[in-house]
Amino acid sequence: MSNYTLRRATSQDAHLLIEAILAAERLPLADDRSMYEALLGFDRRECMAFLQFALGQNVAGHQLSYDSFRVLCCGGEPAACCATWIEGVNAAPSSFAVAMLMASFLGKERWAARAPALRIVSATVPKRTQGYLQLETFFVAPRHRGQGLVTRLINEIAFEHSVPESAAALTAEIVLFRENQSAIRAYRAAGFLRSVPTADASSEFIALTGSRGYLHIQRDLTLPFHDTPENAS
Amino acid sequence: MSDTILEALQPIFREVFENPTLTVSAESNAGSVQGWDSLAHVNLIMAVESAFGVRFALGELEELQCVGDMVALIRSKQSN
Repeated sequence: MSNYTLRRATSQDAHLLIEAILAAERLPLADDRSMYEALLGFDRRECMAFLQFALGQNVAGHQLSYDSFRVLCCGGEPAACCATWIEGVNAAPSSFAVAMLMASFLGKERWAARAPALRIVSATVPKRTQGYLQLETFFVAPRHRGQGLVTRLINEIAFEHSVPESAAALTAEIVLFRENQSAIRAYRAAGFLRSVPTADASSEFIALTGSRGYLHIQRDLTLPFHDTPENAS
Repeated sequence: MSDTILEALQPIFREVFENPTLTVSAESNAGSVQGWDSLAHVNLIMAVESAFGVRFALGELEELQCVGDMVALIRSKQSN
């Protein structure tokens, strides 16, 4: 059995985290673009510059912050990561913070020019639940796949939150594209069995992203989690 | 001073949210003001920065939970 340890991400993990974000936000389009590229009109180079900028701000409470990322290491080497935070407790909603990051990077004129695309996506993205533990941007390095590391990450983070003194959230939730079937299977296997109804995507959203919308799934953190089945992510 | 800032925020909110009858209080927040989503939030912050001649750091904005917090932040910026 390999020895895995969980730690917080640092700026040293920037390359891994950007790879993870681009993979998690990859759209079901033929050209391999991510949501940030479609939404903000970036090419890949500018998208990576934006993600470096966002991570570098390190403002807590959303998915584009070093503070939110956990890295699972095997023998000191990063093997997997995910972002996690508690939504909107003593803070603005995470979507506000991410929108401010985008606007800061783009500047006023470019932000205004992207408003139509931003409105299309904003109308479809599910609203995260205030006070719930958010999990996002799961990524497993290629040579560590097939060892159940997504489940291990979820369980380690769930365990952190099950300690009474730190029980800031009793429910965890994940928002992801409906087309991401392999990830959906992994999360279902890890106990995310409850689905929150989501709006069907508009034709404009489908044209922009290639996706038919989002899945919004939840798991009670008070349920036992040591016996959740391993999966092959 | 705070009342003055809150008063000066009223027309900004009305313009950003395109609601000429909107009146916000210190307790108003994204849950109580119709249309206060992430896009409106950015537009609101840009309009407030322009009107008051201040710039907010991203970390400062993260802590805003209601209009009263915004008033306090503007006041702290003006006193610096």
